[in-house]
Amino acid sequence: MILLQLAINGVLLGGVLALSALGFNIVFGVMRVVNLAHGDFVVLAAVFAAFGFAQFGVNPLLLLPLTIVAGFAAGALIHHVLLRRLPGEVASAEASSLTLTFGLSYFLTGAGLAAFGGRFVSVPYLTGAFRVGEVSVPQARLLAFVVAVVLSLGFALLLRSTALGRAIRATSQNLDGALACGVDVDRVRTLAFAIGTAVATAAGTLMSFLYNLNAQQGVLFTVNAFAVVVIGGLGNYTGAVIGALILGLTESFASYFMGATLAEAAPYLLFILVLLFAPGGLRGRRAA
Amino acid sequence: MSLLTVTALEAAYGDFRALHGVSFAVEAGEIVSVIGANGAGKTTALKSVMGIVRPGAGEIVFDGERIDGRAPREIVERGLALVPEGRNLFREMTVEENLLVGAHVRRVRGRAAARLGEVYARFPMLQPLRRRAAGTLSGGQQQVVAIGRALMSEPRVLLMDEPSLGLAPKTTLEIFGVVREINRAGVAVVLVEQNVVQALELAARAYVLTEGRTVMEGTAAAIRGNADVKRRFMGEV
Repeated sequence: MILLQLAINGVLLGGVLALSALGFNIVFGVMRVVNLAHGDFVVLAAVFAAFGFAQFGVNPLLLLPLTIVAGFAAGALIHHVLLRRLPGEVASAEASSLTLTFGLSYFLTGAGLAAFGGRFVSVPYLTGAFRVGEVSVPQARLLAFVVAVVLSLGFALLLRSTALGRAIRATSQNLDGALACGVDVDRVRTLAFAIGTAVATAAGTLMSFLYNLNAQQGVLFTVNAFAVVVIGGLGNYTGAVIGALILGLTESFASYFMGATLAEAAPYLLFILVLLFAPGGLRGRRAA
Repeated sequence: MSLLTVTALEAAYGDFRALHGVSFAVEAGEIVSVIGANGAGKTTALKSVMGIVRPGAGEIVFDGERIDGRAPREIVERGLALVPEGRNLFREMTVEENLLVGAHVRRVRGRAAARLGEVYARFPMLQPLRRRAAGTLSGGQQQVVAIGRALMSEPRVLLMDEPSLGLAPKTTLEIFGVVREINRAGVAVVLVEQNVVQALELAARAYVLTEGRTVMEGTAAAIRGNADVKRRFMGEV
C-alpha cells in the first residue's frame, strides 16, 4: 500500500514539475537559451501567491490568470530589452545568454527578498485529503496536478494547432527554414520567452501548495526543470512530461526510503545517470 | 525593367567577404540559372536576396522597389520565395505542417487552406504523405515538400538553391520537370545548380559566378557553348 501511496504522490508532483519544465523547454528549444532565471520566476510567483493568501486571503487559483499575464509581460519585456540584443552567432550567444540569465536570477532573488522578506511561506489551502482505502490523496496536491495538466494541455494545443505554435516549432527545428518562409523570428523568440516565463509563474503559483519557499529557492526549480528536460531530451516536449514523471516518482520514493535530504539529490543523480547512459535524453535525437 | 534585379551585391560573414559584386536579373515568367563552383557565393547571393544574410553593399530591386536590408518576412510578403540548399525542412513536423509554415506571411495566411489544396493538386504525391514527419521522407520527396512549402506563399519569383543536391539521376529529372511546370504556371525561377548541363537546358539565360563575382552572363546557349564553362563545369575538354 505504501508503494501505491508513494507512486500517487510522485505522479502528482510530476504533473507540476512537467508544467515548469515545459516553460524551460520552449525557451531552450526556440532560442538555445538555458534560462538560469527560470526557477526564480517559479518561486517569485509562489511567494507572491503565499503573500496574497496570508495578507488578503486571496484564493491562489484566482491569482493564477494575473500571474500568467504578469509572467508573460515580464518575459516579453526581458527578451525585448535584454536577450534580443545578444550577439547573433550561436556560440557566443550561448555563453552570453548564460551570463545574462544568471545575472537576472540574482536580480529576481534580490527583488523577491526585498518585496516579500526571507521567511519560508506556503499556501495552507485545501489542507484535507481524499481517502480511498488506505491511500490518501492530498486535496491541494490533486488540485495543483489537475490545474497543471489543464495548463499543459493548453500549452500543447497552442504548439500543435495554431499558426504561432507551428512558427515556434519551425524556428526551433530549422532556423534558416523558418526565415525562408518569412517567419518573423525575433517576434517568435519574444513570444516563446514570454510563454516560457508565463508557464513558469503558473507552475510557481501551484508550487505554493506543495512547498515551503522563499525567494532564494529558485535554483532548486531551475535544476529540477533542467534535469527533467535533459532526462526527456532537450527540446522534446513529450520527453519533458515523461522526465517530470520520472523525477516526481524518484523524489517521492527517495524521500520515503532515504530521507528528504537525500531526495533533494535525486535530480542531480538522474541527471548524471542520463548523461552517462543516454546523453541525448530518453526521447532525444541520437547524436549524429 | 526586370522583375528582380540584383546589382553589384556584396556580403560578408564576419571577416570573410563572400560576395564582391554579384549581379543578375530575372524577367517575369523567365527561368535563369546561376552556376559556379562550390564556394562561389551562389547560396550567399540567394540568402542575401531573401534578407537572411544582410547585404553589405549593392542593390536589390524587386518589382520596382529596393528590398535590400529588409527582413525576410517583408521580402516573402512581397512575393519572393526560397527553396533552400539542403531543403531546411522542419524534420519533426508533418508534411502538412511544413507546408502551412510556408503560408505564414500575412498576404496568404488567411488563404492557407486553399493554398494547401492547390499545392496538393500540383503535387498529388504529397497528399498520402501529409501526416508523415518530414524527416522520414526520401530525399526526392523532401525536395518536393520544400518546393511545395515555397509555393504556399504564392511567389512571383522562386529562388531554388541546388534542388538536385543528393538526389538520384532519375529523381533529379523529375525535379527539373517540376521546375518547368512551376515556370509554365507563370512563376519566374532563379535556379542555382551544380548540375550545369541540365540547368542550362531548362534556363533561358544564365550567369556564371566565380569567387563571389558575376564573371559571365548570356543566353543559356551561349554559356553552354563557352569553352571555359565547358571545361570547368561540364567535364568536357
